[in-house]
Order: sequence, then structure tokens, then C-alpha cells
Amino acid sequence: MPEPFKINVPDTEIRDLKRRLAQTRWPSEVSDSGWQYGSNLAYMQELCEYWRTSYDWRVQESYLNRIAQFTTQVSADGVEDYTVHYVHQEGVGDNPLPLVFTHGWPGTFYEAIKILGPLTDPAAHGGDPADAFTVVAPSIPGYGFSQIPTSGGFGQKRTALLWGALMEQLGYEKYGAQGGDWGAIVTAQVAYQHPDNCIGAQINMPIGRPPTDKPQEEWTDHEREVAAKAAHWQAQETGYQAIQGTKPQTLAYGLTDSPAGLAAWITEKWRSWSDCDGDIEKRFTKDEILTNISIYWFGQTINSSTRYYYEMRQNQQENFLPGRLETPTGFSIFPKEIITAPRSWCEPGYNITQWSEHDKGGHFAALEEPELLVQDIRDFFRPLR
Amino acid sequence: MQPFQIHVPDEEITGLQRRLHDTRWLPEVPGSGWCYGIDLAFTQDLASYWADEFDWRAIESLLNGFPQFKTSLTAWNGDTLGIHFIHRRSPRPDARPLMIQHGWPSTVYDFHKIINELADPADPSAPAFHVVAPSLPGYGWSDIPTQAGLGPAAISDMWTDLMSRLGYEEFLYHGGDWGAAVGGQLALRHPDRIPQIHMTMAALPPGGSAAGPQTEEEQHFVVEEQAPYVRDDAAHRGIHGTKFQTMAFHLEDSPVGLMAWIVDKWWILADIMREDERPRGGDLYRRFSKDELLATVAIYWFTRTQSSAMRIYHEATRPPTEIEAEVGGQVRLPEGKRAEVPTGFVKLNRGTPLPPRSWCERAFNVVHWTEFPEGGHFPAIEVPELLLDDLKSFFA
Repeated sequence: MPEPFKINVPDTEIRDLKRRLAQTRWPSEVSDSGWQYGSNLAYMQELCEYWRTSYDWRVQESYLNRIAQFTTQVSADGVEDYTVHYVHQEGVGDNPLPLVFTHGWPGTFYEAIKILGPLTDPAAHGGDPADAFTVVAPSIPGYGFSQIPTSGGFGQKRTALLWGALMEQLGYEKYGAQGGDWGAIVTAQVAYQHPDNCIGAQINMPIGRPPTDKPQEEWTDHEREVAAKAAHWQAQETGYQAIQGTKPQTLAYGLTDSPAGLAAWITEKWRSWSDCDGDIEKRFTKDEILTNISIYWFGQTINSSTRYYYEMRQNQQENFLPGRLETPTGFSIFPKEIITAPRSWCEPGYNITQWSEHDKGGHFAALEEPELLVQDIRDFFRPLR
Repeated sequence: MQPFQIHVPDEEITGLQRRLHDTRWLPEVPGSGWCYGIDLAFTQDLASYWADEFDWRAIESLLNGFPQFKTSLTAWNGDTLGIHFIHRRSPRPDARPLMIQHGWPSTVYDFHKIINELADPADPSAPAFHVVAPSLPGYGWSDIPTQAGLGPAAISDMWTDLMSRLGYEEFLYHGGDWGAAVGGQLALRHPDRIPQIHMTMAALPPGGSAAGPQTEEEQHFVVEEQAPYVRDDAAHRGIHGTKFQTMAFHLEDSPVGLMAWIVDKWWILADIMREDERPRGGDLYRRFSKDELLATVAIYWFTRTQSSAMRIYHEATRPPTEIEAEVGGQVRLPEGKRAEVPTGFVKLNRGTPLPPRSWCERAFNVVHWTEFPEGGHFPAIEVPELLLDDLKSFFA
């Protein structure tokens, strides 16, 4: 049964974090190398100093605790039982549609904070109350404040099976699903595994493969551009995936022990995956960056969250969709998305009823461009309600 | 050229011990062992030994038993660096100079079991060598480069300068891992200085990797050895080669994080797993003592060089810049070049996969090929006798 949940990090943990930050042993770096080789030393020193001296976890914690959160034990066929933490905010309107929002890595349920208000109460945000959603934003087991998996094999499909069981437990027979990053894969799986309950999947990270029956000479300029971007991504930006997918625990010792190390590992991704022109604070405040990182730190979830890559890599057959998703699917495309695909590459895998391209925003759409994303979510689900 | 002795201040040692006692441990999947990486119980046990029983001063005096020096060398990009090296001269009048080069995650400590026997062999009929073992730039007690640009080619140029300064016009060479990459560049760029070269790994061809499989045996190697290695066990190369600075923060701040990152490589690359224990099991203590494992980790920790040590992965894989191409300081040489220096290879029993001899022969003038029945990627520590025998027979 759902139990109300409040985040309450012990004082000792907060003091311990600050003590560790104060004794950080910093790395050397190549002079004037900026972010070329990864996290920039001067910025990380500035961010960690702010974390230690100016950032107030208690303020952030009480802000998060104003959002209704619960934990409940969820049981689904083929999945171990897990205690799942989730945000549950009722919609304001005549007929709010339940919507399960799935975060990604290195995100948390915190990714939902800016879209919660406009999704649940459109009238209060210049929208139509007929577009209201009741939002359920769970923490994937191994992330945030959900239970950390105690056995191997917990991947994206099992997450989707749990979400189906969670929505059923909450009494929602019909619902929608939304997400990016891992949330994109889980969202598609939620729709695929629960075709009678999930009426639509709205996804902000298109996943498609180049067509096998169309020779490259016949590709459009856009297709070539996407393929070139993917090749660059593969060569330059996927080192984290390789290690998280093969030996996450070898990596996690240092990230669990060093707050500066954890901050560097996550901050680099928020900077390079967002539409920030190289200035991370154009998109995120230090408080936003650090609240997300603090959730990883206090929850000690960097090992379990990166293990999610290993589970995918070891069992792609289970975790990728086994066939075409016939449930109506909407895609929101943001220009600085890390991996993208033209609509033509996605058509074979999805029943696409919305394809919405934007001229700004990146990988973290819910935090970067909440208004654009909310509009897409409303537009997509309106005909499906 | 200055004589050099290692001395880590007491407060560095107590600082390390304090951090180790203060480690914040990760939650693991109970019973998962080595499935997801280095096993938690193993790591906790080794960390506890490191904190309470490991004797750094013993390692330090072992290393200080070798004559060590630092000298300033200027790289092609203008960076002037103090370079640390062991220089053990042989008492024998017929001795020849031999440079031996470590890679990552190794240091000059790898060679402590073989240096004296190379310089002053027990058998007077065995060849003798004046041994020079440098710490790569950004490794050990060599200075940390402030600029980018020091890949294997640039380092090979610095090493010929170093040997000239020591009065050695011609010198023999042995290297594995990055030592082999530097060796390949030496053979290509300075063949007049290197009469013979001995390697346990092949940077293929010396300038790249694209000579490609051309026989059934080579194809089999790609599918059965190289591909699984790249897929399952070479993730460090990707992250070191692209976003090494993102890794640097936790590895310089957490001794246990550094230990796990380094020990992972010995676990995978040393000869410590029986067939029935693959791919994720084995026992590191079949080949290494705790002190041997920790000596290397401690050197990286005390010298704060893990962040700079990773850079060579990037230097060696990026394309040369325009300036580099102009001055010849590029990190890679063109495809299709063959090094004609007579070369000996050892195929280790474990480690980063060495292509079949036919493939190596397209890039190197292979005149000697030995397959070790045991021992992995760190032969000077794992199987010093086998390595000594092979060096002696090749250089005889």
C-alpha cells in the first residue's frame, strides 16, 4: 500500500558530504583545455565550493517535500518485488489522464519538477483544464529513493512491467506514458507491455535505425547529417556507456567515495547534452545541478544507476522492443538531443501520430524546455483521451 | 642531470591512511561477486590491508636501491619536463644499453625484479645491459605535461634525446603496453639508433590499426580474441581516449576508486583466471602479492599522476593537428609504413590480444617470436624468469 514519503537526509550525512568536499584532492589538467577532455577543473572547483558553502540541501529538500511523494511495494509477474518511490500529483480538471513519467540517467525524478505544475493544473498555467494529467513520476529501482535492486537482471523491460503494476495498484486502468533517455525506452516498453492500458507513448528521444533496404547514396541530406552526428557521438561521447555497460562497479567505487568525482561525472553530461552553448548555467542553476547530484550522493545510487547500462547491454533482447509498437506514439525532437533519428527511420518501429521538431532545447527537455514539452504532451494525448 | 631519490612525506602517507579508513563504500548486488566489476569484499580487504599493513617505506627503499635521476627534456611542442628514470649501469665491459618502458597502469616498479639480473647477470656468459627505465611523461616521478601533444611519437623523440645525453648512441629496447607503442615509433622514426627491439604488444601498424586481417588465422583472431576484448574489457580505452578529465576527479580524490580502476586491469589482463573461471572470476593472488598490487596503486596515488597518465590514450588516437604534421611531431604516422628494425615479439598467455605473426610481419621486421606458456600483460612482474630468458636470447 502506498505510504506518504518525505525525503529526510540525516544531518550527519550532510556534514559528512561537506567534510569530504572540503578535503577534495583535485586533479591536474591540460592548460587552457576548457571542457575539451571532460569536466573543467575551474568550474568543478567553483561548483563544489558552492555545494559546500552556499548550497542548502534543506531548502531543496523542503521544496521537494512539498510535492506529494509515496513509496509502495510493487509486484509484477516476472519481476522481483520492489519498494518504489514516486511522485503522485493529482490533476486539476474534469477528467485528468494519468501519465507515468520516467526519468533517465544521469537524471532522477527531479527531472519532472518543472512540468508537474503545467501538466497537472493547466488552467493555472494558461492552459485548458481538459488537458489535465495526473502525474506519476517514479524513481527507477536503483535511482533516487526507490529500493536498490538486490539481484541482477533488472533492466528496462522489468521497469515497464513494474510501472504497469504500479499504475494498476493506483487504480488507473487507462494511462499515458512519457520519457526521454532511459525513460524513452521504458516508455515504449510500458506501451508495448500494456497495450490495453497504455493509450499512448510520448517520447523525447527518437530511437531509429538506418533503413537496411535503402542504399546510402539515396539518403537525404538530413539522413546523412543524422548519421554523421551519430558517428561522431559514437566515437567521442560514448566512453561512459562502455564502462557503465561492462564494469559499472569498477567505476562506482570512486564515484561513491568522492563527491567531487560524482559531480564531475554527472555535470559533464548535463553540460554537453543540453542546449547551453557550452555554458551549463545558461540552462541550469547551480542549485538545480546540485540537487540532482545530491540525490545521487545521498541515495548512494551511482553504482546501481550505472548498472542499468550493464543490464541493457547484457540483455538487449529483453530490454529493446521485440516488435513494432502499435500504440500511438509521439516524438518530440530537440536540436541538441544526443542521439536522434529522422522520422523515416522511426516509422518501422512505431505507430507515429506526432512528430514535433523544435528549434531549441537538448537532451533534458523536461528541465530545459518544459513549456515546449508540455505543449507536445498535451497535443499528443488530446485526441487519445 | 640530477640524482633522484623518492621520498613521500609522512603526512602524505597518513593522509592516505585516513582517506582509506574513511572510505564510503558502494552498495552491491549481494552475491554478485565480480559480475559487475571489481568485487566488493575483495576491494574492502585490499583497502584494509593498504590502510593498516602495507609498508610504503619498504617499496620506497626497494626503488631507491636503484640509481635514479631526473633530467629536463624539451618536447617538440616546447614543453620542458623533468623526466625521471632508473639508470642501472652494468659492471660488465661488454654491456650494451637497453631501455625498458612501462605502460598504463604500470610504472618503473614493474621492472624491479629484472633490472639487476639484466645489468649484472649471474651467468657470466649471458648478455649484460646498461638498463634505462624512464617514467613516461605524466607518470610516476616524471613531470606532468602542461600542454597537450605528447603521444608515443613525441615521446620516442624525447627518449632518443635522453639516451644521447647518457652517451648511448645505439640502444636496445623492450616495452609492453604504451611501452610497445613508443617502441613502434622508435623503430619507425629512429631506426639508426635502435639495432633491435623487443615487445610484448604490437601497436599495429606502428602508425595505426588498419592493416586489417588478411588470412583465416587473422580473421579468427579478430573474431575470437580482439572483438570480445574490445566489447567486454576495453572500456577504459574509450573513456581515457575521449573524456579522461571527467574520470580524473574521482580517481585523484578517492584512493579506493583509484585502486579499483587499476586493479581491474590486472584482473582482466594478468594470467590469473582459469578457463572455468572466465569471463569474470579468478584469483589475483595467484600472480601478485598484495604488496605488489598496492605498490603500483600507491605510486599513482602519491605522485597524483592518474589524471595525466590517461592523456596518452587521447594523444595516441586523435588525428594529428596541422602544426604537428608540419613539424613531424604527430602522434600517428601514415598507414602502410613498415619498421625494418629487427624485432622480437612475445605472445603473452593473457593480456591485450597480440595479432598473429603474419599480421605483425606486415608492420615490423619480425625475426623472433616467442609464445609464453604462462603469464599475462605484466610479464616483468608475473613471469620475470620467462621474460629475462627471452630478452637474453633475443639480444644475445
